Amino acid sequence: MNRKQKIIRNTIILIGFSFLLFTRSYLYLDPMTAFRASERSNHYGPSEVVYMESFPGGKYIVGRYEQWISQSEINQVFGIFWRIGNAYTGIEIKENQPLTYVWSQSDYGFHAYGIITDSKIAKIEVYTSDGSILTQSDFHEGFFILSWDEDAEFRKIMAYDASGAVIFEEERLR
Amino acid sequence: MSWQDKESYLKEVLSQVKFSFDHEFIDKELRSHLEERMEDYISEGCSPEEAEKMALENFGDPKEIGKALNKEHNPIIGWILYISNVLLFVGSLYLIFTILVPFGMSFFGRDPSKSIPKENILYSIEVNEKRKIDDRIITVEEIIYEKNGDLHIIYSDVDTRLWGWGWSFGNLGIITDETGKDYFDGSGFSTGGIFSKSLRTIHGFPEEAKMLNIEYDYYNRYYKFEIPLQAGGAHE
Repeated sequence: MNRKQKIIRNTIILIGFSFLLFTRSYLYLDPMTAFRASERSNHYGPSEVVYMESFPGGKYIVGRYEQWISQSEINQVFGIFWRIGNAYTGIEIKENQPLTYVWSQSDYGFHAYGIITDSKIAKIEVYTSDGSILTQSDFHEGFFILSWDEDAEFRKIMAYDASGAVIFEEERLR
Repeated sequence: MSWQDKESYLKEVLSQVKFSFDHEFIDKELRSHLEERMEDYISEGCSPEEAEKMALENFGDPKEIGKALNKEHNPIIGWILYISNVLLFVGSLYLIFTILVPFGMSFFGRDPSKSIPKENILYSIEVNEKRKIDDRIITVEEIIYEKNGDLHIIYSDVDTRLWGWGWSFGNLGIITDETGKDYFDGSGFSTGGIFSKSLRTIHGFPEEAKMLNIEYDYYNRYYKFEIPLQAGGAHE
């Protein structure tokens, strides 16, 4: 076998290796494929994606699947690939409450996300352990997500109507 | 020019070949051919010195040979081959440690049933029933009941997707007996990997129970295993 033939042989083997490594790796070519794979392997969904937000390490995807909500983190790898990150799925929407929410922590910070069931809610506030207050008043089909990088934990969530009256309040038990 | 010395002759040849990674190979090849010729001359009655001198003369101009070899050992092709060999080596190691070893371990790794002492087993039942949710096939392989009231469910799960990996399977389902009483108190472990073997142990499962039901009903996915308990092992 001459050197050109050896190069052809090596190239074919390397293509095979690459295919095998890629198919059996955690890498995906786009964030939505990774998100769908995350949900399917978690035996959940497929969710309707109601909100997607970029952050330095990837994307947060907030979704709704029938009476449940989820928040998934899809991480960017090597600039072009995507990988399944943390996922909080199957949070049942509490129709008897003004809102349903979850707070979570990942390598990329803290998040509080949820869905509003009381249409009077005009503003959400999240209080963190360092005294910060995060606010959201623009909701995505009733969904909200508040993220913070600081090393400060979730303390309290409050929801107000347009006049500023408190509709919902819940404090984290320490 | 007459070459008296084999070493300086070879050095001159190699000085014309730009792709240095092939020098050792070329040196070995030329040296072997030269030595063969020298042996021929020696067998014809020449002294070793004469044989070397004649062999070098017959071999030809080292510069010309070197130039010809340089064409044959093109540095671009040489570097491409060298890099592809390195990639192949690194890729093979990566493949072995990230795919083949975990794959092998998940197939030939710890067998959960081996952790149960045989003398403690009251009965065991071969089940080998399969259920599928999404791309995952779950197989309940064996039920082992211990004298202390521990019921062990040995099961495996395999992800049938060709592309990509996702979450591992953590929740086998709700475990009940024929009366509908559910059992949570227990423990478990899983080998993980492509073909994951797992053990779910229920403490205090009644010996007289006739059925073991495993029901998975979450997020519009459903399966149920209904396993008669008094059909196998010591009960037969």
